[in-house]
Amino acid sequence: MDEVLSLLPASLGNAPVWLGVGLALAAATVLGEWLLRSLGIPRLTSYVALGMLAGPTGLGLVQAEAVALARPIVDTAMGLILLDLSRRLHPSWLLANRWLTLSALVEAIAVFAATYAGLTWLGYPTVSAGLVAAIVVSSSPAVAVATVDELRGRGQVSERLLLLACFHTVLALLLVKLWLVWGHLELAGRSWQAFVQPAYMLVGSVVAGVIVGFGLRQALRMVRPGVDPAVRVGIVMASVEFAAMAGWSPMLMVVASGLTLGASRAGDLGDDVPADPDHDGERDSERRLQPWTTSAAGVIFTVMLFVVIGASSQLWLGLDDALGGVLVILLVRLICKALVHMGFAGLSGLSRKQGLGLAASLTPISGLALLMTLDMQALIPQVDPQAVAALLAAIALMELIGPVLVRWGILHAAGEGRPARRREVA
Amino acid sequence: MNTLEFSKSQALSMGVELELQIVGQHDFDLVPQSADLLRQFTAGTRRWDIKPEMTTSMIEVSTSIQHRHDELLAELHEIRDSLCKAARFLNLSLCGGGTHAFQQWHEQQIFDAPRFHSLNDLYGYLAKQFTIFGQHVHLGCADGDTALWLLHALSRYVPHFIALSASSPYVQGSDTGFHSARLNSVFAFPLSGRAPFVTQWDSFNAYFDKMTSTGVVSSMKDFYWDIRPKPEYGTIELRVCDTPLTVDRAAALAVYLQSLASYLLEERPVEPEEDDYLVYTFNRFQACRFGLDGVIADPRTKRRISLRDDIRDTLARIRPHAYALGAEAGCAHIDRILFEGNDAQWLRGLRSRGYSYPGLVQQQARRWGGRVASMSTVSQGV
Repeated sequence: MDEVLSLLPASLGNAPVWLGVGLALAAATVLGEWLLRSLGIPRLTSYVALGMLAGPTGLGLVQAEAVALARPIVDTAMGLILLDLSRRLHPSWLLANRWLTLSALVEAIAVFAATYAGLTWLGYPTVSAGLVAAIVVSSSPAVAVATVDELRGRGQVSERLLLLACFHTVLALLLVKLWLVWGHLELAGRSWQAFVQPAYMLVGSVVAGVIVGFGLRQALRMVRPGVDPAVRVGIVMASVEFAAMAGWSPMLMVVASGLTLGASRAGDLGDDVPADPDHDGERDSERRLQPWTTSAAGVIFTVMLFVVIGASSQLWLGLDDALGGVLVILLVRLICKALVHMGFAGLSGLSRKQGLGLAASLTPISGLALLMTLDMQALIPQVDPQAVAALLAAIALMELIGPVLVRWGILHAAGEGRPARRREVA
Repeated sequence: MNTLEFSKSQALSMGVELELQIVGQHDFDLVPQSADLLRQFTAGTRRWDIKPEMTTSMIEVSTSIQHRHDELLAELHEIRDSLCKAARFLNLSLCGGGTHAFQQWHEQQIFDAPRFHSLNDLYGYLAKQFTIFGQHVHLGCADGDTALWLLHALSRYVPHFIALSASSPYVQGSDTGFHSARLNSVFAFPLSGRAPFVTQWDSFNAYFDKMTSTGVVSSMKDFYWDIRPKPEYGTIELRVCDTPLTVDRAAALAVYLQSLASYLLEERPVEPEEDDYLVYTFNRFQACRFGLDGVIADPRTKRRISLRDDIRDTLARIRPHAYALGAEAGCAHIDRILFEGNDAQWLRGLRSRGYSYPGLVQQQARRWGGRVASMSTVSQGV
């Protein structure tokens, strides 16, 4: 056998990093379509499952080195989805419907407090328990956007899911930073950096985001519709990397960019006229209102995002070592969301069934939470490893189950959207 | 024998029904949220009504019985403000307009009610294509005979209402070239067009009995005529108007009809004849296609006249009646349309200035909400 292998080119013995990623990408796409058509399994679940299977903790076809190298692509893909999501939001809705705002805040507080209480009851250190509780306040914007766009959900639950997924993710980012202040004080001793760093991060991210938002708007107005994905990808990739270098939160910055882009457009959609009269006659804004995740470029980034997130997931360690923590995280979130959204349903303008659908749709934990956890591990190595393992396992489980819950919440509980027809998935 | 009793109602009393578009705040496409909006109006002591329509992106509101322009306008403002408040609560917008500029008919969903499902089963894709938005005006009549006489006397003026209310130049993301493309969708229905020429209520009952006994219709709702009697209300119902972009215009159209009916009933300038209908579909087409610039033919004088001039002449003739009914302000609004153009022209003006279709609907929503104060400020260059 060794003799046979020795006849092959030497380079195959050290498979290029992107070979596995490329194969996983193609396989995930095909598998996703087939499983949706035959068993009704959401595409996103298939992408994550294949990533897990091929990743370092699975068969090892995608090596840890490749996963690390793909991080900028994951950041960019996440940034593109968050940009598309936040430009579609109307924060003014939170003012017009105070019950909706109150339900969002109560849900966040309930999830944080109950998770924190549950984990400390299990004996986890308080700082670590608080960090985990802050991270799981987030809901997954990527799963929300991709599923809503795939199902063409246009109802109240779909709209609220998008708003609250973004709201909770931003809230989680802020909570984590605030808790880190406390973490720094307790774990690293008193330091002026503990106070200044979060403030710098917050202000820097928002200011940079607003500037990028205006810049992106101007750039989009200068190109014809067909090529605008290249502008979006370029600007998001560059700004996310720059934000990371500058010590800002790339995702907070992207949300600020999207809100700026959306607000400037909402002023007057008629303002979106092509700068060049030779354009193909189709008004820019008519194409740019297409959801990103269903565009050709968006599909590629979305598949890559979920495959790499799957490959980055660490399911088994947490299930072996911290099953109690995993169960607390998952059950507490599920119960809190169901109670809050069914309780507030009538007041905020939903039926009970829609409230249940919204609660189910908000259960996936953000892939961003995974990135936050990995960053947290690097930033504060003192954080309890069992807490990290429990969190990573909970995130991995929700990445698999989450898309199923979102799909059920939108399609069946809320009765919104339409499943892909056979001809569309064929 | 199936007969219809014509209820008593006060002559020249009015009721206005408006079918409205429910659009999303993000892309201003139609959104299927009429059930959510209706849930906001389950309780209360309001005199007006709100109902679902054929597809889930539509809603219909109707006023209480009104007699004067100022009272009608006040109630329409109240309806508009209540609806807009409920829509903001749900992150929605509402707007007028006979068609939505870029919706796709196959994406529309039938509202979950037995009547709408049975219509969907009967008419197939026509049911979803019926996602169009009209204004209906009910006019009280003393009795069935008077109702039928008025119905046929008004047929000559149907093009007026089409041209004045026209607000549906765009369909499925294309300029149709029509001022009111909405009526083309209505024409596809087998029982659309004009009512049969019967002028006695007994004769109408005989006709209705024949139609029901064949199984073609089961109620008056199955007739999609341009003007139809509504015996349970004691009214005739004018159904050709597109929903205008503002409630002010809706009120003006209603009192223009009221004043015109008063003129016809009191002065009896013509006696309706079957031959009046010789040019009916031609005149109707002219109004749909060319709006106020359409040219209509008079079957009696054989003259052809532009709709703009004919409306101007009519306004002059009905002025004393408008004055007596307190409808001068409404008729003045109608007069202004002759100079400023109809809503279809306003929409085309925006489009020619570079507005995208979502941008166009956004402006419609602003006008409906009363946030674009003056037509003339945005119609420059139209």
